[in-house]
Amino acid sequence: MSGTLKEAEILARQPKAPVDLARAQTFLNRAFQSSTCIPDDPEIAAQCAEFVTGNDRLTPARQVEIYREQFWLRHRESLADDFPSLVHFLSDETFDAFVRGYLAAHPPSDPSLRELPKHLVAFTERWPFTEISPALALDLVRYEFAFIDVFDGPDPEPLDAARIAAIPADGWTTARIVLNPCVARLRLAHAAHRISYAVKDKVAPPREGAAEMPSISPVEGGVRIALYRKENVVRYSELTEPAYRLLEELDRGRSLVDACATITEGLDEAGIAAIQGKIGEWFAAWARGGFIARIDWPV
Amino acid sequence: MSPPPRLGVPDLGVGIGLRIPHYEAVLTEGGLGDTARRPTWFEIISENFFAEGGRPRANLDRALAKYRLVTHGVSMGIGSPEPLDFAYLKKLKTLARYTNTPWVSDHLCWTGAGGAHLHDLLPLPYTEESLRYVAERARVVQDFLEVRFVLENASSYLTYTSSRLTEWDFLAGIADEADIGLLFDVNNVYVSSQNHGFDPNVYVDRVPAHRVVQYHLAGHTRFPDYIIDTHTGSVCDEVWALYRRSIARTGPVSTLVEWDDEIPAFEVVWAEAEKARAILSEARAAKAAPLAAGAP
Repeated sequence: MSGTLKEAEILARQPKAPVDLARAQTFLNRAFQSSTCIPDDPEIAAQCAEFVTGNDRLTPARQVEIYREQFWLRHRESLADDFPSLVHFLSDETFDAFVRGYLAAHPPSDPSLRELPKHLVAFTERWPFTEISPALALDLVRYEFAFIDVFDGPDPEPLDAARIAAIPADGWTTARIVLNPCVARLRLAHAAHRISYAVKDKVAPPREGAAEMPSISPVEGGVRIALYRKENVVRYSELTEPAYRLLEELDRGRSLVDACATITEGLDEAGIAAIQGKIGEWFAAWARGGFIARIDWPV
Repeated sequence: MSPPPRLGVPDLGVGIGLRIPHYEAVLTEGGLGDTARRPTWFEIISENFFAEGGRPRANLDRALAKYRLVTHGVSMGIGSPEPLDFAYLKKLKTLARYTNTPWVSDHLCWTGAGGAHLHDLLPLPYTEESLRYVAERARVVQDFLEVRFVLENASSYLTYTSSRLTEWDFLAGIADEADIGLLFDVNNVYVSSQNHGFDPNVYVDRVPAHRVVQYHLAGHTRFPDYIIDTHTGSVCDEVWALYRRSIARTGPVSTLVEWDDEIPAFEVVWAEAEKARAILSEARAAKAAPLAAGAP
Protein backbone atom coordinates (compact mmCIF):
# COMPACT_ATOMS: atom_id res chain seq x y z
CA MET A 1 0.00 0.00 0.00
CA SER A 2 1.42 3.38 -0.95
CA GLY A 3 2.24 5.86 1.81
CA THR A 4 -0.27 8.37 0.50
CA LEU A 5 -3.08 5.82 0.38
CA LYS A 6 -2.30 4.69 3.91
CA GLU A 7 -2.32 8.31 5.09
CA ALA A 8 -5.66 8.91 3.39
CA GLU A 9 -7.13 5.88 5.14
CA ILE A 10 -5.89 7.10 8.51
CA LEU A 11 -7.41 10.54 7.96
CA ALA A 12 -10.71 8.98 6.83
CA ARG A 13 -11.13 7.72 10.42
CA GLN A 14 -11.83 11.23 11.64
CA PRO A 15 -14.94 11.56 13.80
CA LYS A 16 -17.62 14.23 13.41
CA ALA A 17 -17.61 16.96 16.03
CA PRO A 18 -20.31 16.53 18.71
CA VAL A 19 -23.23 18.87 17.98
CA ASP A 20 -23.07 20.73 21.32
CA LEU A 21 -19.33 21.25 21.01
CA ALA A 22 -19.62 22.60 17.47
CA ARG A 23 -22.45 24.91 18.54
CA ALA A 24 -20.40 26.44 21.36
CA GLN A 25 -17.37 26.78 19.09
CA THR A 26 -19.38 28.41 16.32
CA PHE A 27 -20.69 31.04 18.72
CA LEU A 28 -17.32 31.73 20.37
CA ASN A 29 -15.53 31.79 17.02
CA ARG A 30 -17.77 34.69 16.02
CA ALA A 31 -17.53 36.42 19.42
CA PHE A 32 -13.72 36.28 19.53
CA GLN A 33 -13.60 38.04 16.15
CA SER A 34 -16.19 40.66 17.03
CA SER A 35 -15.19 44.25 16.32
CA THR A 36 -16.95 45.50 19.45
CA CYS A 37 -16.11 44.93 23.10
CA ILE A 38 -18.22 41.94 24.22
CA PRO A 39 -19.57 43.43 27.50
CA ASP A 40 -20.70 46.49 25.48
CA ASP A 41 -22.76 44.36 23.09
CA PRO A 42 -25.90 43.31 25.00
CA GLU A 43 -26.92 40.67 22.46
CA ILE A 44 -23.58 38.81 22.36
CA ALA A 45 -23.06 39.35 26.12
CA ALA A 46 -26.38 37.62 26.83
CA GLN A 47 -25.48 34.71 24.53
CA CYS A 48 -22.13 34.30 26.31
CA ALA A 49 -23.96 33.25 29.48
CA GLU A 50 -25.44 30.28 27.64
CA PHE A 51 -22.00 28.80 26.98
CA VAL A 52 -19.62 30.39 29.51
CA THR A 53 -19.89 30.32 33.31
CA GLY A 54 -18.05 33.46 34.39
CA ASN A 55 -16.82 33.52 38.00
CA ASP A 56 -16.96 35.72 41.10
CA ARG A 57 -14.69 38.33 39.42
CA LEU A 58 -15.61 38.12 35.73
CA THR A 59 -18.95 37.88 33.96
CA PRO A 60 -19.22 35.39 31.08
CA ALA A 61 -18.92 38.32 28.66
CA ARG A 62 -15.69 39.53 30.30
CA GLN A 63 -14.19 36.04 30.13
CA VAL A 64 -14.96 35.94 26.41
CA GLU A 65 -13.57 39.46 26.04
CA ILE A 66 -10.12 38.26 27.21
CA TYR A 67 -9.91 36.03 24.14
CA ARG A 68 -11.35 38.71 21.83
CA GLU A 69 -8.63 41.10 22.95
CA GLN A 70 -5.91 38.49 22.45
CA PHE A 71 -7.24 37.79 18.93
CA TRP A 72 -6.96 41.47 18.08
CA LEU A 73 -3.52 42.03 19.63
CA ARG A 74 -1.99 38.93 18.05
CA HIS A 75 -3.11 39.68 14.50
CA ARG A 76 -2.44 43.40 14.71
CA GLU A 77 1.10 42.69 15.90
CA SER A 78 1.67 40.14 13.17
CA LEU A 79 0.66 42.56 10.41
CA ALA A 80 2.61 45.41 12.02
CA ASP A 81 5.74 43.21 12.05
CA ASP A 82 5.29 42.28 8.38
CA PHE A 83 4.40 45.78 7.13
CA PRO A 84 6.59 48.20 9.12
CA SER A 85 6.47 50.93 6.46
CA LEU A 86 2.72 51.15 6.54
CA VAL A 87 2.83 51.36 10.35
CA HIS A 88 5.44 54.11 10.05
CA PHE A 89 3.32 56.38 7.87
CA LEU A 90 -0.08 55.80 9.44
CA SER A 91 -1.41 56.94 12.81
CA ASP A 92 -2.24 54.14 15.25
CA GLU A 93 -5.92 54.89 14.77
CA THR A 94 -5.73 54.54 10.97
CA PHE A 95 -3.62 51.40 11.09
CA ASP A 96 -6.05 49.88 13.61
CA ALA A 97 -9.02 50.66 11.35
CA PHE A 98 -7.17 49.20 8.36
CA VAL A 99 -6.34 45.98 10.25
CA ARG A 100 -9.88 45.67 11.63
CA GLY A 101 -11.26 46.11 8.11
CA TYR A 102 -8.87 43.49 6.77
CA LEU A 103 -9.60 40.92 9.49
CA ALA A 104 -13.34 41.39 8.98
CA ALA A 105 -13.04 40.99 5.19
CA HIS A 106 -10.52 38.14 5.36
CA PRO A 107 -10.71 36.25 8.67
CA PRO A 108 -7.44 34.38 9.28
CA SER A 109 -7.84 30.89 7.91
CA ASP A 110 -4.37 29.37 7.62
CA PRO A 111 -2.63 27.61 10.54
CA SER A 112 0.39 29.81 9.91
CA LEU A 113 0.39 33.55 10.65
CA ARG A 114 2.83 33.76 7.74
CA GLU A 115 -0.21 33.45 5.45
CA LEU A 116 -2.24 36.14 7.23
CA PRO A 117 -1.48 38.89 4.66
CA LYS A 118 -2.25 36.75 1.61
CA HIS A 119 -5.19 39.03 0.60
CA LEU A 120 -3.63 42.27 1.81
CA VAL A 121 -2.49 43.62 -1.56
CA ALA A 122 -5.99 43.32 -3.06
CA PHE A 123 -7.52 44.73 0.13
CA THR A 124 -5.15 47.71 0.12
CA GLU A 125 -6.22 48.57 -3.43
CA ARG A 126 -9.71 49.30 -2.11
CA TRP A 127 -8.88 50.98 1.22
CA PRO A 128 -9.48 54.78 1.28
CA PHE A 129 -6.21 56.00 2.80
CA THR A 130 -6.05 59.73 3.51
CA GLU A 131 -2.88 60.16 5.65
CA ILE A 132 -0.73 58.98 2.76
CA SER A 133 -1.65 58.57 -0.87
CA PRO A 134 -3.44 55.29 -1.61
CA ALA A 135 -0.87 54.66 -4.37
CA LEU A 136 2.03 54.92 -1.88
CA ALA A 137 0.25 52.62 0.58
CA LEU A 138 -0.28 50.09 -2.17
CA ASP A 139 3.37 50.20 -3.27
CA LEU A 140 4.56 49.75 0.31
CA VAL A 141 2.26 46.77 0.87
CA ARG A 142 3.18 45.20 -2.48
CA TYR A 143 6.88 45.56 -1.71
CA GLU A 144 6.72 44.26 1.86
CA PHE A 145 4.45 41.38 0.83
CA ALA A 146 6.98 40.35 -1.83
CA PHE A 147 9.74 40.65 0.77
CA ILE A 148 8.02 38.05 2.99
CA ASP A 149 7.69 35.65 0.04
CA VAL A 150 11.34 35.97 -0.91
CA PHE A 151 12.51 35.71 2.71
CA ASP A 152 11.62 32.06 3.15
CA GLY A 153 10.78 30.81 -0.33
CA PRO A 154 12.22 27.46 -1.40
CA ASP A 155 15.87 27.28 -2.40
CA PRO A 156 16.38 26.25 -6.06
CA GLU A 157 18.80 23.51 -6.95
CA PRO A 158 22.25 24.94 -7.82
CA LEU A 159 22.81 25.56 -11.55
CA ASP A 160 24.23 22.52 -13.27
CA ALA A 161 27.38 23.89 -14.94
CA ALA A 162 27.96 20.65 -16.91
CA ARG A 163 24.49 20.81 -18.46
CA ILE A 164 24.97 24.45 -19.42
CA ALA A 165 28.36 23.71 -20.98
CA ALA A 166 26.77 20.92 -23.04
CA ILE A 167 24.37 23.30 -24.78
CA PRO A 168 25.68 23.90 -28.34
CA ALA A 169 25.90 27.45 -29.67
CA ASP A 170 22.78 27.05 -31.83
CA GLY A 171 20.96 25.51 -28.85
CA TRP A 172 20.68 28.92 -27.26
CA THR A 173 18.16 29.98 -29.90
CA THR A 174 15.63 27.63 -28.35
CA ALA A 175 16.99 27.05 -24.82
CA ARG A 176 14.58 28.13 -22.10
CA ILE A 177 16.02 30.06 -19.17
CA VAL A 178 13.92 29.15 -16.14
CA LEU A 179 13.92 31.82 -13.46
CA ASN A 180 14.13 31.14 -9.75
CA PRO A 181 10.55 31.34 -8.40
CA CYS A 182 11.97 32.96 -5.30
CA VAL A 183 12.85 36.13 -7.26
CA ALA A 184 10.06 38.73 -7.19
CA ARG A 185 9.72 41.44 -9.84
CA LEU A 186 7.83 44.61 -9.06
CA ARG A 187 6.91 47.72 -11.00
CA LEU A 188 6.26 50.50 -8.51
CA ALA A 189 5.29 54.16 -8.75
CA HIS A 190 7.28 54.95 -5.58
CA ALA A 191 10.69 53.88 -4.31
CA ALA A 192 8.99 51.57 -1.81
CA HIS A 193 12.11 49.40 -1.53
CA ARG A 194 14.26 52.34 -0.41
CA ILE A 195 11.53 53.66 1.88
CA SER A 196 11.14 50.25 3.52
CA TYR A 197 14.87 49.90 4.16
CA ALA A 198 14.99 53.42 5.61
CA VAL A 199 12.02 52.68 7.90
CA LYS A 200 13.65 49.49 9.14
CA ASP A 201 16.86 51.43 9.80
CA LYS A 202 14.87 54.09 11.62
CA VAL A 203 13.35 51.62 14.07
CA ALA A 204 16.61 49.66 14.46
CA PRO A 205 19.32 50.86 16.86
CA PRO A 206 21.22 53.81 15.26
CA ARG A 207 24.19 52.69 13.18
CA GLU A 208 26.66 54.24 10.79
CA GLY A 209 25.53 54.07 7.18
CA ALA A 210 21.85 53.76 8.06
CA ALA A 211 19.65 54.54 5.06
CA GLU A 212 18.33 58.10 4.71
CA MET A 213 14.58 58.35 4.24
CA PRO A 214 14.03 58.90 0.50
CA SER A 215 11.27 61.01 -0.98
CA ILE A 216 7.82 59.51 -0.65
CA SER A 217 6.63 61.23 -3.83
CA PRO A 218 6.13 59.14 -6.95
CA VAL A 219 9.30 58.58 -8.97
CA GLU A 220 9.13 59.96 -12.49
CA GLY A 221 8.79 57.03 -14.89
CA GLY A 222 8.31 54.64 -11.97
CA VAL A 223 10.77 52.08 -10.62
CA ARG A 224 11.33 48.44 -11.47
CA ILE A 225 12.98 46.12 -9.00
CA ALA A 226 13.84 42.49 -8.55
CA LEU A 227 13.85 41.17 -5.00
CA TYR A 228 16.07 38.19 -4.41
CA ARG A 229 17.80 36.33 -1.61
CA LYS A 230 21.53 35.94 -1.36
CA GLU A 231 23.19 34.24 1.61
CA ASN A 232 19.79 34.28 3.32
CA VAL A 233 19.51 38.06 3.13
CA VAL A 234 16.77 39.64 1.00
CA ARG A 235 18.22 42.22 -1.39
CA TYR A 236 16.86 44.32 -4.23
CA SER A 237 18.21 45.15 -7.65
CA GLU A 238 16.90 48.19 -9.55
CA LEU A 239 16.25 47.30 -13.16
CA THR A 240 15.97 49.30 -16.34
CA GLU A 241 12.77 48.88 -18.35
CA PRO A 242 14.39 46.61 -20.99
CA ALA A 243 16.01 44.43 -18.34
CA TYR A 244 12.70 44.14 -16.49
CA ARG A 245 10.90 43.21 -19.70
CA LEU A 246 13.54 40.64 -20.60
CA LEU A 247 13.03 38.90 -17.25
CA GLU A 248 9.29 39.09 -17.79
CA GLU A 249 9.55 37.47 -21.24
CA LEU A 250 11.87 34.74 -19.96
CA ASP A 251 9.43 34.06 -17.13
CA ARG A 252 6.72 33.56 -19.76
CA GLY A 253 8.76 30.67 -21.13
CA ARG A 254 10.21 32.46 -24.17
CA SER A 255 13.68 31.49 -25.38
CA LEU A 256 16.42 34.08 -24.95
CA VAL A 257 16.40 34.86 -28.66
CA ASP A 258 12.62 35.31 -28.79
CA ALA A 259 12.64 37.36 -25.58
CA CYS A 260 15.33 39.65 -26.97
CA ALA A 261 13.38 40.03 -30.21
CA THR A 262 10.29 41.08 -28.26
CA ILE A 263 12.01 43.70 -26.12
CA THR A 264 13.83 45.25 -29.08
CA GLU A 265 10.75 45.35 -31.31
CA GLY A 266 10.34 48.76 -32.91
CA LEU A 267 13.78 50.02 -31.86
CA ASP A 268 16.24 51.44 -34.34
CA GLU A 269 19.63 49.83 -34.85
CA ALA A 270 21.30 51.97 -32.22
CA GLY A 271 18.63 51.04 -29.67
CA ILE A 272 18.99 47.35 -30.46
CA ALA A 273 22.77 47.57 -30.21
CA ALA A 274 22.53 49.33 -26.85
CA ILE A 275 20.40 46.55 -25.41
CA GLN A 276 22.55 43.80 -26.93
CA GLY A 277 25.55 45.46 -25.36
CA LYS A 278 23.91 45.23 -21.94
CA ILE A 279 22.61 41.66 -22.00
CA GLY A 280 25.90 40.07 -20.96
CA GLU A 281 26.16 42.45 -18.00
CA TRP A 282 22.57 41.74 -16.94
CA PHE A 283 23.01 38.00 -17.07
CA ALA A 284 26.22 38.17 -15.11
CA ALA A 285 24.43 40.12 -12.36
CA TRP A 286 21.40 37.80 -12.47
CA ALA A 287 23.60 34.72 -12.25
CA ARG A 288 25.40 36.22 -9.24
CA GLY A 289 22.02 36.98 -7.62
CA GLY A 290 20.73 33.45 -8.24
CA PHE A 291 17.94 34.62 -10.57
CA ILE A 292 18.36 31.61 -12.87
CA ALA A 293 17.10 28.29 -11.56
CA ARG A 294 18.03 26.17 -14.59
CA ILE A 295 18.35 26.14 -18.36
CA ASP A 296 16.14 23.72 -20.27
CA TRP A 297 17.59 22.40 -23.51
CA PRO A 298 16.43 20.72 -25.61
CA VAL A 299 13.02 22.20 -24.77
CA MET B 1 22.23 3.02 33.95
CA SER B 2 19.85 5.39 32.16
CA PRO B 3 16.12 4.96 32.89
CA PRO B 4 13.98 3.08 30.36
CA PRO B 5 12.31 5.38 27.82
CA ARG B 6 8.85 6.49 28.89
CA LEU B 7 6.26 5.64 26.20
CA GLY B 8 9.22 4.96 23.97
CA VAL B 9 10.70 8.45 24.25
CA PRO B 10 13.94 9.39 26.01
CA ASP B 11 14.53 11.71 28.97
CA LEU B 12 16.48 14.57 27.37
CA GLY B 13 17.18 16.47 30.58
CA VAL B 14 16.69 20.24 30.59
CA GLY B 15 16.25 22.38 27.50
CA ILE B 16 14.87 25.75 26.49
CA GLY B 17 12.76 27.05 23.64
CA LEU B 18 14.84 28.12 20.63
CA ARG B 19 14.07 31.82 20.04
CA ILE B 20 15.45 34.35 17.54
CA PRO B 21 17.16 36.70 20.06
CA HIS B 22 19.33 33.75 21.18
CA TYR B 23 20.36 32.53 17.72
CA GLU B 24 23.69 34.30 17.83
CA ALA B 25 24.64 32.78 21.19
CA VAL B 26 23.14 29.36 20.60
CA LEU B 27 23.98 28.69 16.95
CA THR B 28 27.44 30.23 16.73
CA GLU B 29 30.38 27.98 17.47
CA GLY B 30 31.59 28.76 20.99
CA GLY B 31 28.72 31.22 21.49
CA LEU B 32 27.71 29.62 24.76
CA GLY B 33 31.17 29.37 26.27
CA ASP B 34 31.40 26.46 28.71
CA THR B 35 29.94 23.58 26.72
CA ALA B 36 29.30 21.47 29.82
CA ARG B 37 26.73 23.98 31.02
CA ARG B 38 24.79 24.46 27.82
CA PRO B 39 21.48 22.84 26.92
CA THR B 40 21.60 19.59 25.03
CA TRP B 41 18.21 20.04 23.44
CA PHE B 42 15.90 22.78 22.26
CA GLU B 43 12.24 22.92 21.48
CA ILE B 44 11.25 24.60 18.22
CA ILE B 45 7.84 25.99 17.28
CA SER B 46 6.91 23.66 14.42
CA GLU B 47 5.03 26.20 12.29
CA ASN B 48 8.03 28.56 12.26
CA PHE B 49 10.04 25.94 10.38
CA PHE B 50 7.60 24.74 7.73
CA ALA B 51 9.27 26.96 5.10
CA GLU B 52 11.49 25.05 2.72
CA GLY B 53 14.17 27.65 2.28
CA GLY B 54 15.75 30.88 3.31
CA ARG B 55 16.95 31.88 6.70
CA PRO B 56 14.46 29.80 8.75
CA ARG B 57 15.65 26.59 7.07
CA ALA B 58 19.31 27.63 7.33
CA ASN B 59 18.90 28.30 11.06
CA LEU B 60 17.12 24.99 11.51
CA ASP B 61 20.04 23.21 9.85
CA ARG B 62 22.53 25.03 12.09
CA ALA B 63 20.55 24.04 15.19
CA LEU B 64 20.22 20.43 14.04
CA ALA B 65 23.96 20.21 13.55
CA LYS B 66 24.53 21.06 17.22
CA TYR B 67 21.52 19.97 19.27
CA ARG B 68 18.66 17.56 19.66
CA LEU B 69 15.46 19.33 18.57
CA VAL B 70 11.88 18.60 19.58
CA THR B 71 8.97 20.03 17.60
CA HIS B 72 6.16 21.80 19.46
CA GLY B 73 3.16 23.08 17.54
CA VAL B 74 0.56 25.73 18.26
CA SER B 75 -1.83 25.44 15.30
CA MET B 76 -3.08 21.87 14.91
CA GLY B 77 -6.46 22.51 16.54
CA ILE B 78 -6.94 18.97 17.86
CA GLY B 79 -10.31 20.01 19.33
CA SER B 80 -11.53 22.16 16.42
CA PRO B 81 -14.85 21.21 14.81
CA GLU B 82 -13.50 20.93 11.25
CA PRO B 83 -11.66 17.85 9.94
CA LEU B 84 -7.92 17.82 10.65
CA ASP B 85 -5.98 19.83 8.09
CA PHE B 86 -4.26 17.29 5.85
CA ALA B 87 -1.88 19.85 4.31
CA TYR B 88 -0.83 20.99 7.78
CA LEU B 89 -0.24 17.43 8.98
CA LYS B 90 1.85 16.67 5.88
CA LYS B 91 4.10 19.63 6.63
CA LEU B 92 4.35 18.59 10.26
CA LYS B 93 5.27 15.03 9.31
CA THR B 94 7.90 16.29 6.88
CA LEU B 95 9.40 18.48 9.62
CA ALA B 96 9.23 15.64 12.17
CA ARG B 97 11.21 13.40 9.82
CA TYR B 98 13.65 16.15 8.90
CA THR B 99 14.42 16.93 12.54
CA ASN B 100 14.13 13.32 13.77
CA THR B 101 12.16 14.65 16.72
CA PRO B 102 11.57 11.98 19.39
CA TRP B 103 7.97 13.19 19.84
CA VAL B 104 5.62 15.80 18.36
CA SER B 105 3.61 17.96 20.70
CA ASP B 106 0.73 20.42 20.41
CA HIS B 107 -1.96 21.76 22.73
CA LEU B 108 -5.22 20.38 24.03
CA CYS B 109 -7.37 23.12 22.56
CA TRP B 110 -9.33 24.24 19.53
CA THR B 111 -8.10 27.00 17.23
CA GLY B 112 -11.08 28.16 15.16
CA ALA B 113 -14.33 27.20 13.44
CA GLY B 114 -16.12 27.83 10.18
CA GLY B 115 -12.86 27.91 8.25
CA ALA B 116 -11.29 30.55 10.51
CA HIS B 117 -8.02 30.01 12.35
CA LEU B 118 -7.76 32.32 15.35
CA HIS B 119 -4.14 31.44 16.26
CA ASP B 120 -5.04 30.96 19.89
CA LEU B 121 -5.18 28.00 22.25
CA LEU B 122 -8.90 27.98 22.99
CA PRO B 123 -10.21 25.81 25.84
CA LEU B 124 -12.65 22.95 25.30
CA PRO B 125 -15.74 22.09 27.33
CA TYR B 126 -14.85 19.14 29.57
CA THR B 127 -17.51 16.62 28.56
CA GLU B 128 -17.46 12.91 27.73
CA GLU B 129 -18.40 13.72 24.12
CA SER B 130 -15.51 16.18 23.69
CA LEU B 131 -13.15 13.72 25.35
CA ARG B 132 -14.02 10.93 22.91
CA TYR B 133 -13.90 13.32 19.94
CA VAL B 134 -10.43 14.66 20.81
CA ALA B 135 -9.09 11.22 21.73
CA GLU B 136 -10.13 9.77 18.37
CA ARG B 137 -8.51 12.66 16.54
CA ALA B 138 -5.34 12.37 18.62
CA ARG B 139 -5.10 8.71 17.65
CA VAL B 140 -5.48 9.68 13.98
CA VAL B 141 -2.71 12.26 14.33
CA GLN B 142 -0.36 9.82 16.07
CA ASP B 143 -0.95 7.13 13.44
CA PHE B 144 -0.51 9.65 10.64
CA LEU B 145 2.70 11.17 11.99
CA GLU B 146 4.21 7.77 12.89
CA VAL B 147 5.86 9.30 15.93
CA ARG B 148 4.70 9.63 19.55
CA PHE B 149 2.10 12.38 19.76
CA VAL B 150 1.98 14.45 22.93
CA LEU B 151 -0.66 16.93 24.11
CA GLU B 152 -0.05 19.86 26.43
CA ASN B 153 -2.59 21.22 28.91
CA ALA B 154 -3.22 24.86 27.93
CA SER B 155 -4.00 27.81 30.20
CA SER B 156 -7.59 29.02 30.11
CA TYR B 157 -9.49 32.18 30.89
CA LEU B 158 -13.04 30.90 30.62
CA THR B 159 -15.01 27.83 31.67
CA TYR B 160 -18.06 26.29 29.99
CA THR B 161 -21.53 25.82 31.36
CA SER B 162 -21.57 22.39 29.67
CA SER B 163 -18.41 21.04 31.40
CA ARG B 164 -19.10 17.94 33.51
CA LEU B 165 -15.52 16.74 34.11
CA THR B 166 -12.54 18.33 35.81
CA GLU B 167 -9.74 19.48 33.51
CA TRP B 168 -7.38 16.83 34.91
CA ASP B 169 -9.86 14.01 34.34
CA PHE B 170 -10.47 15.32 30.81
CA LEU B 171 -6.74 15.43 30.07
CA ALA B 172 -6.09 12.01 31.60
CA GLY B 173 -9.07 10.48 29.78
CA ILE B 174 -7.85 11.69 26.40
CA ALA B 175 -4.28 10.53 27.02
CA ASP B 176 -5.41 7.07 28.10
CA GLU B 177 -8.03 6.60 25.39
CA ALA B 178 -5.72 7.79 22.59
CA ASP B 179 -2.58 6.21 24.09
CA ILE B 180 -0.58 9.40 23.70
CA GLY B 181 1.92 11.24 25.89
CA LEU B 182 1.43 14.39 27.93
CA LEU B 183 3.41 17.57 27.97
CA PHE B 184 2.59 18.78 31.46
CA ASP B 185 2.80 22.56 31.77
CA VAL B 186 2.78 23.30 35.48
CA ASN B 187 2.65 27.05 34.87
CA ASN B 188 -0.57 26.51 32.91
CA VAL B 189 -1.95 24.50 35.80
CA TYR B 190 -1.14 27.38 38.15
CA VAL B 191 -2.58 30.06 35.79
CA SER B 192 -5.84 28.15 35.29
CA SER B 193 -6.12 27.35 39.01
CA GLN B 194 -5.90 31.07 39.80
CA ASN B 195 -8.37 31.97 37.05
CA HIS B 196 -10.92 29.30 37.94
CA GLY B 197 -10.36 28.74 41.65
CA PHE B 198 -9.28 25.11 41.91
CA ASP B 199 -6.44 23.55 43.90
CA PRO B 200 -3.46 23.06 41.55
CA ASN B 201 -2.07 20.34 43.82
CA VAL B 202 -5.10 18.18 43.11
CA TYR B 203 -4.51 18.63 39.36
CA VAL B 204 -0.84 17.64 39.71
CA ASP B 205 -1.74 14.60 41.81
CA ARG B 206 -4.36 13.35 39.34
CA VAL B 207 -2.41 13.53 36.09
CA PRO B 208 -1.40 10.02 34.89
CA ALA B 209 2.30 10.13 35.83
CA HIS B 210 3.32 7.37 33.42
CA ARG B 211 2.11 9.44 30.44
CA VAL B 212 4.07 12.60 31.22
CA VAL B 213 7.00 12.72 28.78
CA GLN B 214 7.81 16.42 29.07
CA TYR B 215 7.35 19.42 31.35
CA HIS B 216 6.98 23.08 30.47
CA LEU B 217 7.92 25.87 32.87
CA ALA B 218 7.30 29.57 32.21
CA GLY B 219 6.35 32.91 33.66
CA HIS B 220 2.98 34.64 33.44
CA THR B 221 1.43 38.09 33.82
CA ARG B 222 -0.98 38.95 36.61
CA PHE B 223 -3.85 41.36 35.92
CA PRO B 224 -6.30 42.53 38.59
CA ASP B 225 -8.96 39.89 37.82
CA TYR B 226 -7.07 37.15 36.01
CA ILE B 227 -3.64 35.82 34.97
CA ILE B 228 -2.46 35.47 31.36
CA ASP B 229 0.06 32.85 30.29
CA THR B 230 2.45 35.29 28.61
CA HIS B 231 5.67 33.26 28.97
CA THR B 232 7.39 36.34 30.30
CA GLY B 233 9.50 36.74 33.43
CA SER B 234 10.89 34.14 35.80
CA VAL B 235 9.08 31.04 36.95
CA CYS B 236 7.32 31.91 40.21
CA ASP B 237 7.83 30.05 43.51
CA GLU B 238 4.37 28.49 43.40
CA VAL B 239 5.10 26.96 39.99
CA TRP B 240 8.47 25.61 41.15
CA ALA B 241 6.64 23.99 44.08
CA LEU B 242 4.14 22.37 41.69
CA TYR B 243 7.01 21.16 39.52
CA ARG B 244 8.77 19.54 42.50
CA ARG B 245 5.53 17.90 43.55
CA SER B 246 4.91 16.56 40.07
CA ILE B 247 8.49 15.35 39.56
CA ALA B 248 8.16 13.41 42.80
CA ARG B 249 5.29 11.49 41.13
CA THR B 250 6.61 11.13 37.60
CA GLY B 251 10.33 10.86 38.25
CA PRO B 252 12.81 12.85 36.12
CA VAL B 253 11.31 13.79 32.76
CA SER B 254 12.52 16.08 29.93
CA THR B 255 11.88 19.64 31.08
CA LEU B 256 11.81 22.83 29.10
CA VAL B 257 11.76 26.51 30.05
CA GLU B 258 9.79 28.81 27.72
CA TRP B 259 10.29 32.58 27.54
CA ASP B 260 8.47 34.29 24.65
CA ASP B 261 7.85 37.90 25.57
CA GLU B 262 10.44 40.52 26.53
CA ILE B 263 13.03 37.80 25.98
CA PRO B 264 16.17 38.47 28.05
CA ALA B 265 19.75 37.36 27.37
CA PHE B 266 20.29 33.63 26.95
CA GLU B 267 22.03 33.41 30.34
CA VAL B 268 18.92 34.68 32.13
CA VAL B 269 16.69 32.03 30.54
CA TRP B 270 19.32 29.37 31.09
CA ALA B 271 19.54 30.32 34.77
CA GLU B 272 15.87 29.29 35.06
CA ALA B 273 16.64 26.04 33.31
CA GLU B 274 19.51 25.41 35.76
CA LYS B 275 17.00 25.59 38.62
CA ALA B 276 14.97 22.87 36.92
CA ARG B 277 18.16 20.86 36.41
CA ALA B 278 18.89 21.03 40.15
CA ILE B 279 15.39 19.73 40.94
CA LEU B 280 15.76 16.91 38.41
CA SER B 281 19.15 16.00 39.91
CA GLU B 282 17.61 15.82 43.38
CA ALA B 283 14.88 13.57 42.00
CA ARG B 284 17.42 11.30 40.33
CA ALA B 285 19.46 11.12 43.54
CA ALA B 286 16.34 10.33 45.58
CA LYS B 287 15.42 7.57 43.16
CA ALA B 288 18.91 6.10 43.25
CA ALA B 289 19.32 6.30 47.07
CA PRO B 290 17.17 3.29 48.06
CA LEU B 291 18.92 1.19 45.44
CA ALA B 292 22.34 2.26 46.72
CA ALA B 293 21.29 1.53 50.31
CA GLY B 294 20.15 -1.94 49.35
CA ALA B 295 23.21 -2.75 47.26
CA PRO B 296 25.59 -5.43 48.54
